[in-house]
Amino acid sequence: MNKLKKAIPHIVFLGPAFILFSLAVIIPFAVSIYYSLTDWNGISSTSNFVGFKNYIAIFSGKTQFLTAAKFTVWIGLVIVVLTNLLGIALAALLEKKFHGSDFFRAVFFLPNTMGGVVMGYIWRFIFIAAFGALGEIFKWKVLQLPWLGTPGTAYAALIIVSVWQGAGYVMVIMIAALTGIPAELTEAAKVDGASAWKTFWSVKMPQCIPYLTVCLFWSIATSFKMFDVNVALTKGGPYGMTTSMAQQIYNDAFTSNRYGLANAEAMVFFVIIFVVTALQMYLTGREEKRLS
Amino acid sequence: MNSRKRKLSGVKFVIALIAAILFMIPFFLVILNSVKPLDQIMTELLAFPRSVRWENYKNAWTQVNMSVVMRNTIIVTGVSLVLILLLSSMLAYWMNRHKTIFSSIFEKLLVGSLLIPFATVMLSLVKTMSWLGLTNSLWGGIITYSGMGIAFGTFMMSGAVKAIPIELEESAALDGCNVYQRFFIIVFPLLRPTLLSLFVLDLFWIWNDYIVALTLLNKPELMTLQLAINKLFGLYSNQWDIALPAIVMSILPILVINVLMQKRIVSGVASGAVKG
Repeated sequence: MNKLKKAIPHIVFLGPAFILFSLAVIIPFAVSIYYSLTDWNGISSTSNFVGFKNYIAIFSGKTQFLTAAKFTVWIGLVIVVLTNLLGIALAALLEKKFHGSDFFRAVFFLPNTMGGVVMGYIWRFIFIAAFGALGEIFKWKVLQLPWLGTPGTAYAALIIVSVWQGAGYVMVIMIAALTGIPAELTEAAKVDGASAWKTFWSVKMPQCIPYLTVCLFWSIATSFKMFDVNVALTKGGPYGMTTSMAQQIYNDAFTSNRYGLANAEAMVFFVIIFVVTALQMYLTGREEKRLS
Repeated sequence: MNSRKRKLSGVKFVIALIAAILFMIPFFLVILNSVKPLDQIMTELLAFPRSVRWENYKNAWTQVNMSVVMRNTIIVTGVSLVLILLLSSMLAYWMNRHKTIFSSIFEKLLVGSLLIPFATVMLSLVKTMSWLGLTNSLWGGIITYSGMGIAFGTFMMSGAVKAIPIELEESAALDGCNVYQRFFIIVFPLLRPTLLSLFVLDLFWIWNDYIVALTLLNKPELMTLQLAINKLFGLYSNQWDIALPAIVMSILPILVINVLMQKRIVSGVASGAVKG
């Protein structure tokens, strides 16, 4: 009786959270591992245990997943580079306070506070309708292209929207990094006659490397998980050429009824994201220790 | 020197202004055209509307079934946020003050789960929720958002709990406070600044989320904003006079929060990033 009484606070504080966490994460994760080893189609009452057959199918290129993975990785890397460059530029611009700088920070961060689906559709309107109207006025051929209709321009459209959405995040982190640099360092460079450009890249940036790695891994993880923007902007087209990894998993499970295979793809996806995120957490953890 | 500095901030201002205009043009054009009749959107997209046509908003409201969709989104976001904020602080508190074998295993599981992308568990989540009989209720979404959100929430709250001196609680215990009173009356109010940051981050996450809603709430009566917008575009892909006002209505709450909590958002993101 006494023992039970002692256990009650433990149950009150940990119990509800543990139940929710188990239902949302632990159980589905375990179930996914199991189904990834079967040939279940998601509907029928029977399924067979097939071992690693699904995984072999993925890596031997018999499914679409490798194509989706290749697309996601290369477009992700382009997005990462451009997002970080634009974010750093904005941070450099707004690092020191001036009239209206707080307002500008909020403006550049705004797209980051909105959902990918809505952002995708806003840009769909711009690419389909507004570009056409602008093209008629300026007579620029670039604006009159069928932006979402050909592979090359659809890639460009996805890159534009993703960079526009992510740059504000990098800006916020990099402003925090830049304002943390001791003033003596930049003063010393100034005394030595270094230009502002040179001071920024060879004195300030090296100080920001820990924050920069955080931004890099954040943007890699985010773009590797891309889903919403593709759904809204290109629907994975044209010809399925902008289908991301997460979209491929969804389609295989719910459209093609290859539930077992889709679960195996989900596990491969997990391993990819695991490596990227674990590296990011290791780097931020090391950074926190260094700062404290 | 001083005049050079002033000149430099003038140049910065102009560059920032141009960049800000480029950033905001998409929003501006969407809002501008949301009050025009369709033929005017097609022919005079860049012109100011000749007259404001609020009827577009009325049509969009009924087409989207906005009263139901808004209600669903607010319930799912609100209940999940309450659960995340409350349970994350309770967890962080207990793991910090009353370490047991179970709590430290749980803590490791939570950190580990931050490495699992949603797409990995989404297929089996549908199965799990149907075993529980929750496929026809908003609870499927709420359980998922809060179950996943607790991991990052606990991570963020534990820093704040560690910063609270234990002496405060010791003296309260001497005054006869039990463990629940110590947490809810003394510790919980002191966590407010971090709770506010977590609130902002998770509010944007859940309000804007599409993939969780798609897998668990994809039914007319359970539909959330992001799903409804996607469905609307599937039905009326070029009916801009309905689609644009729907978009404006869906981002309006986010815009208001951005204006009201500008500073909190930026600092919340910065602290969340260093921790997450």
